[in-house]
Amino acid sequence: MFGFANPERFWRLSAILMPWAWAAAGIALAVGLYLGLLSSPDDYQQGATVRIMYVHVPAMWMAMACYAFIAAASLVSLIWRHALADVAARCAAPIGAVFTALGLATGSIWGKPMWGTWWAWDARLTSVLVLLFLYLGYMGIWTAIEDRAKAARAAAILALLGAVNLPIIKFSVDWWNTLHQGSSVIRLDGPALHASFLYPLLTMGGAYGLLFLALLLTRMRTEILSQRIWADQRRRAANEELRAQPEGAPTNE
Amino acid sequence: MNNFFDFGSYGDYVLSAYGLSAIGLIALVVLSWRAYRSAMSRARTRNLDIS
Repeated sequence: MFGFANPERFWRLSAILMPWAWAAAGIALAVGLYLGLLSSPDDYQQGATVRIMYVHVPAMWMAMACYAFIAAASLVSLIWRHALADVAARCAAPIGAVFTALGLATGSIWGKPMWGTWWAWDARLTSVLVLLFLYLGYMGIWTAIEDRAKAARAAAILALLGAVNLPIIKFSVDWWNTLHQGSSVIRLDGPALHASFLYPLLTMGGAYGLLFLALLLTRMRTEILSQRIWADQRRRAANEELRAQPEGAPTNE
Repeated sequence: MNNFFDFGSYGDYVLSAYGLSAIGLIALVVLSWRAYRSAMSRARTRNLDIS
């Protein structure tokens, strides 16, 4: 499996995958928006606000899936010191942070007409807010620590510790009394949603997943390029330094 | 048409949720693409192998 994670092989594979991922994400988003905004019916209790579900729920799915991805990549990085795992985790973090912020914001907008309040300090909302802070902390570590190896290690440890929050988010609605409704899609006894709501939701979920893939590939290629440019800069600077020394002068070596 | 965007008097909530999502995701896409194109351009300037 790690053979495919070789940076050179990833570079060639991602060049082929990236345009397809962008095209598939664009098409899936267009279909999902059509189904969610135009085709799906109103809910008999929630009315048209149920349409907010098609942007809120996929954003939260991706927020959690992205953090799980970062935690898995961090584990690979800590155990096998795989350079591409660091790149993948680092590049996924801003995407996950945006999905989390959008999940919180759209949830708040949905909560106002349904619960009568923009925000409540209940278990689900608070644990998702903690997830956002974990993302910000993770990105902060990469920015604050100059030494790349130390930053990768510290960020990976934070990502693994923070992964404890994922089951708390998922099961918070079962463990505590919350304003938030219980699970209605990912349940042992199957989805509780009618097909007219479920299909648009799954389409938007797929579209967000494809968008995540397209963004991740693009950002990972950018990061790999930036590392190559940095290495080239250092090599050129070293060559300049060597050339600037008069012949026969002692070197540091 | 106005009736459609009214969303049963919940139009403000529905459209602001979709609008906010669109702004957030479009910003993420634009920033990621700009950074990618800039890195590609710098790599080309330095004659790095980007094939």
